[in-house]
Amino acid sequence: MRWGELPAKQRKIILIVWPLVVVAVFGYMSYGALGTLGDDPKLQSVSFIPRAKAKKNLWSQIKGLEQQIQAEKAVVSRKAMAEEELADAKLRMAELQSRLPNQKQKEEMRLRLQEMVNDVPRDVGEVRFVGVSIQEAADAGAGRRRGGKSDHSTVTYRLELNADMNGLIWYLDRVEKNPRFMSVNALTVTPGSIEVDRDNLEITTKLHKVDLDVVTYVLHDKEG
Amino acid sequence: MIRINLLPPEFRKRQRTSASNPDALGILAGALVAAVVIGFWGYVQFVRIPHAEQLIEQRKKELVVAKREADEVRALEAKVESFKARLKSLDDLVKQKVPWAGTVSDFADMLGRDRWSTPGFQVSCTGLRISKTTAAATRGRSAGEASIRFQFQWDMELVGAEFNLAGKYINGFFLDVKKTDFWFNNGFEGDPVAPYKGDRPEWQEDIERVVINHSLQWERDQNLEAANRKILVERAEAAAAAQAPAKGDG
Repeated sequence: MRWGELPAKQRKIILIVWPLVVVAVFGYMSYGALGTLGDDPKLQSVSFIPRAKAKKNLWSQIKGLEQQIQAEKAVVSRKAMAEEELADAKLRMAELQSRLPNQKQKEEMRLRLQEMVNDVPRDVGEVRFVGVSIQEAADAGAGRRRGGKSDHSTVTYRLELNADMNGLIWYLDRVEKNPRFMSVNALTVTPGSIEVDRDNLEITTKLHKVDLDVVTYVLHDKEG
Repeated sequence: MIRINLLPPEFRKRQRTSASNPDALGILAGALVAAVVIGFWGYVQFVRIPHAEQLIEQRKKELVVAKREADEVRALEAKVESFKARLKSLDDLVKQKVPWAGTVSDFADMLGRDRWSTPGFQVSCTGLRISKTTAAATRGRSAGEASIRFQFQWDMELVGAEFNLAGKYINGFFLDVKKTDFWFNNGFEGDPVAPYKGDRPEWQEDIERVVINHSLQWERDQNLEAANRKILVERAEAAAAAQAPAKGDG
């Protein structure tokens, strides 16, 4: 049957129904496609069109990825600061390491301690070296490396000296101001005896007996 | 009903054409609407969705690059943290150093002074023992703060002119000690008289002097020393600030 032969009423119905069918079919397909797509910024003007609710639509994935990229870029932006901090930390570490001896320099420290005795000027006072014993103990406190092993040991040089008070103060000052780290952790002074020379009417004071614990920390390695 | 069209033929033709238009218009309108809907779907399906998928791939690649760079920075930061931890432990060790040369010098100066505020006696040290202690601090420190403390133990020998003034000598000695640089600048804690447990003065005929022997144990706190230094700096700054306007006026 030809279009012109159809009754006007049927023609009207067909004219109304076919676009409706097309709109319904493609509208439903658009509904699904929009749901898959998500909040596309280019389709903001048609955001009023209803869409299927898909949890992982494409634009939510894009936004999620962009957020992750931003977070990673924020980390990357700290690179210059981290490099600066690392350079600074390395510098400070080198400075500290230069102050703390390593295992091989233990004997050098003992030598320095004796040499400083000889450095005391005669017009200041008198110090005489008697002996030294060295005690070493792995540190149980801070400064541990991975595996729980300490990265340094505490080395105590137990010095025996004979000194007058001025000489002792001068010597202590030299020990404490030495570029190498040395700390006085114990000091015992037993006064020297006083003798009276009745013939010459003179009082002579013998040197005090001094026991001195000088502590330093020996690094096991100089890594980093 | 029979219709008779009296219009001239050219008008009739036009009227006939317009009479057949409603269907054509309907088809056209329907096609237009269908075309809009199909076009929109096609745009979403074949333009926007592939574009979004392409964007996802691009962003994924960007993320891989950014993650790689960020991981490098994280590794760098971890290295910095490890360095800082080691530095802190070494710093803590170095900070445990307490200087003694100045303290012993101040102590010798204090005992060697010509006269005390109460005249008639002299004090000398007949034995000195300095050692590190682990005793807890009593003041000047918040909880958890590192404590570097030393015991300063010494044997005192006080020699005075008169036996009856022994109490006065002892009293004068402790009052003076508290005012000395030795006591204030070196972080000694509490009152110098605190460890004093009484004495037994002895009159020695050969030198005609009263002699008091006593062992004293004082405690030195590095943090307290730092706190005292801060007070001294603040006092100096306050004094300088007070002097500045006076000079300006002059």
